[in-house]
Amino acid sequence: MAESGFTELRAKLDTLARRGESHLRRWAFKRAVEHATPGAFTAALIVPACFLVLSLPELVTGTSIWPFSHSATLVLFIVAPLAVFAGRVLFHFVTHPVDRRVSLALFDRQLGCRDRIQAADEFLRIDRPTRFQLAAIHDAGPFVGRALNARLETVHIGIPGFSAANRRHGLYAVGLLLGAMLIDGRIPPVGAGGPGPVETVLAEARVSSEPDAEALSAAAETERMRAAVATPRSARTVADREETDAAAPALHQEANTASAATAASRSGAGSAVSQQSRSDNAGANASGQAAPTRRAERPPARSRRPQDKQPPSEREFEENDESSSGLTSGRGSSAGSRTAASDKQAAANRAQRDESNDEVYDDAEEEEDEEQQAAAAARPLLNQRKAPADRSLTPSGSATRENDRANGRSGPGGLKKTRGVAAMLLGVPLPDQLRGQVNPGRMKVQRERAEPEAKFAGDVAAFDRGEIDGSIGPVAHQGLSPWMQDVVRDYFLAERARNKPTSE
Amino acid sequence: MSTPRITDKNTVAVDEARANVAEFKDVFDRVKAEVGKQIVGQQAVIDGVLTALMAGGHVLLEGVPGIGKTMLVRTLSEALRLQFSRIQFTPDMMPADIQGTMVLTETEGGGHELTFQEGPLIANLVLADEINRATPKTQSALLEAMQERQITVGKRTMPLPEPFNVMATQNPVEQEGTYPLPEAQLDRFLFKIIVDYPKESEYHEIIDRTTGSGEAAIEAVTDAETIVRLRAIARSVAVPEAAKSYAVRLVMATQPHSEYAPDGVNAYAALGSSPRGVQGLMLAAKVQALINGRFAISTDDVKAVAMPVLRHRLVLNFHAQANDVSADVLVEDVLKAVKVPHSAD
Repeated sequence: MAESGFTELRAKLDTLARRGESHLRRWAFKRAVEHATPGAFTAALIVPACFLVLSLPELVTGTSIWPFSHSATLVLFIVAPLAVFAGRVLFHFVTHPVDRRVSLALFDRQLGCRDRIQAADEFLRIDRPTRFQLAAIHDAGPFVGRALNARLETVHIGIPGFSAANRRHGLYAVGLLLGAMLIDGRIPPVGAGGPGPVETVLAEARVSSEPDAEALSAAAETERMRAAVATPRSARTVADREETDAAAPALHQEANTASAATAASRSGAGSAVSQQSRSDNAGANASGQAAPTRRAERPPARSRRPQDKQPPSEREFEENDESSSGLTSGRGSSAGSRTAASDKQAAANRAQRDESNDEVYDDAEEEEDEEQQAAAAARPLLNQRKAPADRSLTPSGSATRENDRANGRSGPGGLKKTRGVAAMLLGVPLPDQLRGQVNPGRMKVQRERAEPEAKFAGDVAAFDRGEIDGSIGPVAHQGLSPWMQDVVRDYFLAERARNKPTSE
Repeated sequence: MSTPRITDKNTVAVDEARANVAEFKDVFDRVKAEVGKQIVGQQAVIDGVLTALMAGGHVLLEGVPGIGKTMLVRTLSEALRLQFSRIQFTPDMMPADIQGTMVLTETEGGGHELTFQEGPLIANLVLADEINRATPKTQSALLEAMQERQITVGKRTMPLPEPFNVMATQNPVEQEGTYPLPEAQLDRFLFKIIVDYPKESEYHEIIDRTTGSGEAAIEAVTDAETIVRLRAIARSVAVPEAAKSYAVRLVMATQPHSEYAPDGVNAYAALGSSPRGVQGLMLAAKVQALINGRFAISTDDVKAVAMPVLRHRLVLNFHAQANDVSADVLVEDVLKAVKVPHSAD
């Protein structure tokens, strides 16, 4: 050591520093990878999320604003996390430079040198070291030799372990991507290679039948309104109703077909039907305005439900009963949501109901109505008559008994009816006196001048009152008010509880 | 930047440093052995007291009565052959009782003159027994002596003899009729050492030594001049930048809402250590390095002396008192939270 000088020691320290720096760089890279991995998995969610968000308008408008193709999306899905990963690793490297002192401290820690190597390297840079600094440099010599022969722990850099959060983020990303692709239509649904014959027919029917459906709906509505206004219900004949009832299911079926085609096509025709329905139901509330749209967009698959095996008239009767009676059954519709279509259905229901009932019942009902209308003009209803009130106010032998016929007007009994102005007056006596005056009414004060006159007062002899000693008797204490007594009692009870020694 | 060259002068300096370290370690070990003849166990306490003595700092010993605090200081004075005085602090003690006062004396010519009668404070090793029983006025009389190592009586200022060390004791349980030491005075103690009960095996030795017929004879192994020289040696120990930075960070970490303060300090400390704390850390760490035969201190030396140096410099707030959080807990938090600079951890 002494012969070779400090230069040799410095060279050894440089060697140690390079080894330590290399080791620490591997550690830093490993740490950077560990730090960057979660960010990369999180970044993997970005592309699918954007894809999904930008594909959602396609559900409404039919056009997607996602600008990339299928293959480009997949490339972006892979490249984006890799770019984030690389960027974060680079950032970690740049922001965590390896210090020479830390490199040497690595050997200090491994050999238990108590900072001897690090201190020697620092003191070697001083031009005029003190004797203790020189001694410290000498003291570090053997430890530097040992450090050169020491092997640092190997740093294995491999694929970082995927944590549960990373795996979750990866699954979310893949799920989002698949969902967005399904929405976007780039991946067809499983089991359907393309548009089937049903969709094709419905799409054609959408284009061809939209005007017919509107025309049929308008015509049926006009006819129904004209019949309802011009002809009273009682005056309609059975034949008229039969004619109307025969026409209603046909119209309804046509309207339903048009609505189904509209829903299947998911085009602007649906909104046209909705507008027509809203115009028919201008007075309906906001919730009611949404109902016809939903009804118009009801898919034709609904007609394949098991309940459709029933006769169409019965099913429609049930549905229209619900809508016309205002029962929402939790489906959000209300009585105010009745539309032209529902009015047509209601008319058909009434016709069906009349048809399903017995004809005899109709005749008896009409006759009863006519009888009541004729009798109402002649005399009051006999079953609503009551006995007249007893207005006798004279005391009599029966005055002690309660008169049931008094009707609360007079005589002994319970509560009396009060009538007139007296019933509106307060029953509280009020003094005829104004506040602040000693007497009722005004007061007159008269002042008179009087001369002072002297009065005679006799002499008062002083006397000894004697010494006060002995008991002065009980001294009266002002009693505490109840709330103060409560406060004092609570305070001392709390004190006693606090100072009470525990039984344990 | 140039690498220093090995010269004859440098070689001599290195040899001299080695001799200094050897002498220091030898004296330290011999004093410790002599004290160990009288005091059973309490090795950490003896090391702490000797470290503070070699670093030139004062020591506050805190412990319940009967565990050998006074005996330790008395034994130490005998082993060091220092001028020793003991002051039993009481509430009615006045500053003049410990510093000394001017008294009227008769001269040879028959006249009279005022002469200074020295108090017990003028000594090399002062045992201030139950220091917290004195009034703040009397406690304040120690401030100048402990920091400037001089006393002022009237218009006269007198330097105290070197080495000058105050070893104070206080009882943590009997707080009735005591006056807690003010922060200004606590800050002047280099170490606050908690003296705990002996271990079970040590009780047997205590019985044998103190209830038998023989008494342990304490021999003086050094003197005041040697102590002064050893103090100079301790101040020569080299300080690397890492250890210096670590000591600074530790002291700053005790200051609430500082850059390095952990959450516990922010929540429970009202005041942290002053710059005297970092001075104490460095001096004590230097002694620690010499004891271990090294020429430069390491961060481990700083860490080893951090607790006795910092524990009495923390002023706790009411939340700490309410939650029964002690200064020791906060210092441990600081030691865990503060990272060693330029370390490979």
